[in-house]
Amino acid sequence: MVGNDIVDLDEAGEPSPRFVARVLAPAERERALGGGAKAVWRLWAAKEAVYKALARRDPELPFAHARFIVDAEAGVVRHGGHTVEVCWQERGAALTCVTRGGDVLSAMAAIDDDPGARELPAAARPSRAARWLARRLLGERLGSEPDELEVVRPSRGRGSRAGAPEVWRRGRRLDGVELSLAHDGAFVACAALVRPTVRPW
Amino acid sequence: MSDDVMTRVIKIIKPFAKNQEALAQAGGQTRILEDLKVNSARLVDIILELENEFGIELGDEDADRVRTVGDAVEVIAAKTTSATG
Repeated sequence: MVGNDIVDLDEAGEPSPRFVARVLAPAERERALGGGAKAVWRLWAAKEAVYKALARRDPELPFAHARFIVDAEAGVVRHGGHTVEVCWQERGAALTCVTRGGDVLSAMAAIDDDPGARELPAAARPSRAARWLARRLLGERLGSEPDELEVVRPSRGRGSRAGAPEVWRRGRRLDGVELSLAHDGAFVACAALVRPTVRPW
Repeated sequence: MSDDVMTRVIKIIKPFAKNQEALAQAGGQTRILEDLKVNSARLVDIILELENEFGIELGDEDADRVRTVGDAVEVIAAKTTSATG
């Protein structure tokens, strides 16, 4: 199970008190009080990352934010009977959180790093750049050219969320690759888990 | 009623949508995250604004059902009907 999230701290700004009250559990609010906006966004990113990981098993899992309890000191998020380890990374204004467990690969970049994204309308750039980053990361791992890989987000019909992104190589889905994509503001991130059954090309 | 609700919902979404072109064409089936490029933190802000605008309270399950513009209209209709009925 892999999940990730990224927050552009410059764009995210100061969360409103109602936002904080809605997404954080009471114990989290107390702990986040002294840490300012960044402390809240760290918790948010961890909740998102773990939600994405757990939703792979249960696609209709409701994202009830306050039920994902983050213990930042221990680096874990608890939800129901699950305890998921997470780690955070910061680079400039970009804050990412990725679930741990297994051989997780992760990367982050600015949207403008993707030369192909620059030519697209602004609204299409983040998704394109996140896929570009994932294809580069996985290409290196799988011994493939990034262009040989395709990242597809399957639609599961109206009323359902889009499924987790899938990775395809030369017309075949790579079932042993789990991929999580995120974008916010000026940044994109990806995290992937590649099972040993997926052989390099 | 739902046309008026839809207009108000779209007005609330407007400042959070990165895809203003899609918002200008938005209808009931328009997906808030994927089509309008609203990020998930901003979706929480939209839920809070909907609560303010329509004087309702949306629990986690209600909020989780709001995936399209039409879902928002339906949830609001259900809440306002149950409050007045």
